[in-house]
Amino acid sequence: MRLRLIKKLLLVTLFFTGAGLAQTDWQRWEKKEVSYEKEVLQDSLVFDDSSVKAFLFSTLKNGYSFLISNHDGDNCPFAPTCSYFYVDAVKKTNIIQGTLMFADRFTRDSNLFKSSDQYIFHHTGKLEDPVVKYTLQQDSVNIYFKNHQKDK
Amino acid sequence: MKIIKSFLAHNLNHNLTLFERQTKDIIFNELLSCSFVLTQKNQKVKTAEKLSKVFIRKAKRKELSRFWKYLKGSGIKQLFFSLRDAFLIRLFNNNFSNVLLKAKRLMLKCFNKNLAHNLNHNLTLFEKSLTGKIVFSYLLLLTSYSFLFSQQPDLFTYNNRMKFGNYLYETKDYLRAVDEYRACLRINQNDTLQFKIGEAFFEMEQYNFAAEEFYKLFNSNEFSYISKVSFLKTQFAAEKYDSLQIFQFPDEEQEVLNYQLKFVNLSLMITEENLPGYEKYFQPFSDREKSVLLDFYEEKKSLPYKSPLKAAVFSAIIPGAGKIYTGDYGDGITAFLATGLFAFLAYDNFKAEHNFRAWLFTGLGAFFYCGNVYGSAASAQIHNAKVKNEFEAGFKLFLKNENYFIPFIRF
Amino acid sequence: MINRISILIIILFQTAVLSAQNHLEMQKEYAESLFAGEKYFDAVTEYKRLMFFDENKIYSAEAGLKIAYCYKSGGKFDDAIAVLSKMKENQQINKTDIEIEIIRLNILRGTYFRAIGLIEKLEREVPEKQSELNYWKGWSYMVADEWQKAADAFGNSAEKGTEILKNLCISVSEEKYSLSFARTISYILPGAGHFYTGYYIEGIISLGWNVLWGYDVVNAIKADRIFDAVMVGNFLWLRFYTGGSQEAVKLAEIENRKIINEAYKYLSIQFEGKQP
Repeated sequence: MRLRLIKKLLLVTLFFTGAGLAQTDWQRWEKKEVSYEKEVLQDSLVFDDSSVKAFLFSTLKNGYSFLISNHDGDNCPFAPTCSYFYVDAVKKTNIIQGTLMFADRFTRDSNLFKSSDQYIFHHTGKLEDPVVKYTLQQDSVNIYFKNHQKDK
Repeated sequence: MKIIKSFLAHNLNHNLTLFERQTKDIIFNELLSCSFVLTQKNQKVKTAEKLSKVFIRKAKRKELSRFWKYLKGSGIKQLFFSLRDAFLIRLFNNNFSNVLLKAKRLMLKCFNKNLAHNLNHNLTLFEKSLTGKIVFSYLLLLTSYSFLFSQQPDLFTYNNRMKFGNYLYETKDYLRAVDEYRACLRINQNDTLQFKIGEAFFEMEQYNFAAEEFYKLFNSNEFSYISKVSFLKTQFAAEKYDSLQIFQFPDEEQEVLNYQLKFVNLSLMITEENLPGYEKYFQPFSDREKSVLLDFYEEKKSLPYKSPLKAAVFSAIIPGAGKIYTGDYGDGITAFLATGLFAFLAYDNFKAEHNFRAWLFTGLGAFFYCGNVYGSAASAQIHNAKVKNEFEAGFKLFLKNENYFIPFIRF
Repeated sequence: MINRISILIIILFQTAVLSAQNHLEMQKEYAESLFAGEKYFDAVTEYKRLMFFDENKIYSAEAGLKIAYCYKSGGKFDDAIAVLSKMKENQQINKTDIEIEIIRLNILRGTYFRAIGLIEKLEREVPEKQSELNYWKGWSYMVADEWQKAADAFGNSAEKGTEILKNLCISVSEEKYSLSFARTISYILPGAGHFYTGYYIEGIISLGWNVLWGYDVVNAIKADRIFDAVMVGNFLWLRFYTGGSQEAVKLAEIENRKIINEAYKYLSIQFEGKQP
């Protein structure tokens, strides 16, 4: 379609306008200390919310990871992991809706033909699949995709 | 060597005062030793230094100490600064001819011999007349005072800062350009620079600052119209669509009001699901603008949204159908297979009277079935968000490239 | 009269030229004072100003280099490399020095394969710089987490501090856990890989799961429930068996990460030799 071609051409021309070098200096920067250290791989779930419910859920989830899911292999192609997703879903909505979201996530996980068109790549290399996409609130979903458009 | 010796001797003898006669021999010998270096341009500094050593040794401290101290400097430029001070001292002491002679001698070293020869001949006559002295001293004072005041670098004058700011602006180094322009504005009000500051902030996507800067030009003579229109453009780019209508522009500013209407209609393309009719929508736009916007208008009217309710109903009837409806083919098939498999296993186990397992599989089947219905509705919403976002991003990019139909300004 | 005035004008002109020269010198000093004071953003502004007003391009080489150093100090390695790449054509600077500086920036940026490629190219062109290039090769391998290769490269370099770095690389290389070893012994005995890296409790849990499912499968075969045996064996035992091995490798990676981060911390804080 002609319009899509125009959009793609515009994107390409913007990319090559050579504004890249100057863009660093569009905000003041200060001296940065040199560090060669690499990112620490971390695993366990920590909630900001310090309520009893959150504490209970995070303890259960961490317990499940420690005893079971850490030992049955790295089968989840998504970030966050399915157990994290379930706890986060229940926290953001309610237990029934959370369970439905988890069921849907499990189904999508079983799909062997996932494409990168459907999901955006997470910085760890996995496919990003946060809870906010599935809460049935169109505005939140719109905002999620708009923010990721900026990252592209 | 001999020619140089005789030339120098002739000049010196012709114009010496009492002081020079006393030191004549020393000076002459010094000049002789320096004569070899006269021909080499890069040895001028050494010559000056050697001369200065001689003069310092022989200096009459009261009158000349300050002057010769400067001669200890490392370059010809120092000599000239010293000359400046020397002239000032001499003016007070009325010992003009002495200084002029020294200047002449120094210039003999620095410039070519022809020039020095001319200088030699003309200055002797000029020195003697009073008007000559006054004119000469005035010009020398002028030079010296210009040196005095130009001790601070003139790279930071108004014009130089503006030039540098323009260079930075052209190379897209906007934050630095803004600093330069602001420094210029502290000295002198300049509407072009003020506008460029606004444009720079706009390019950096700092829309609040850009709006502030454009607002300052509302009452300007030259930039009133363009600043108002640019202000509206900033509000649009910052997605403050409500505020587009808040500003009340006077009725006589028809062009600005027209732009305001254009921006409001452009914002409808983003905020509203249903656009007004063709005539009403395109009324403020020119024919050229209409032709380029028409594609977007028509695309907006026919964006391929999917209904979440329909997707859920399809999935309720046939598991996975809703996801296929929204375009998630892989997920739809997986949902169908998972639900079907567990349904079959449940049926099989009920037939074989393995009730516990049968109920287990029924439960799992129900789990996948409900998940699939929910997931289809969510999938429709995701599809809609993707479509909307892609359209909006394309539209905004297009407008940015057209500069929101505002004529580009060449500075 | 006209001659005298014209002479005076020439004198004034000459002095004006000399005073302008003085202004550039003062601007250079101002920029250098900002650089020394670690105000790098402002230093870049002033060096750019110097380059803009320097019509005779006397200061352009020096100013360009200083701008690159400012970007480097601010962590803006892409910009520093871009500036240096543009300066390669400048006749006033030694091209080899710029190439080496670009190699150092690549090391800092983390694009170590690019750094190694540039080093190898430069080794062919400028063989007399072998010692220094080996030093930077060692650094590239260190940042790339290949410590044995780094130790070998430092062995061929005579720069100051190579002995310390070589010993550091050898000790890190020896301390690190072998991922392939962890994987292999986990396949032989589930949980052994966890024990190797010091995670004893996790090792016992992994072993426990494997024993449980193994017992279930054997029981199912004994009771002639082949279908059940296959289901449990495939969906549970195999999953926990391969999962255990994967987890052992992951834990070894976590431990290795801790070891190399200690080494990197030493390099950035305590090491006194030349840094990239």
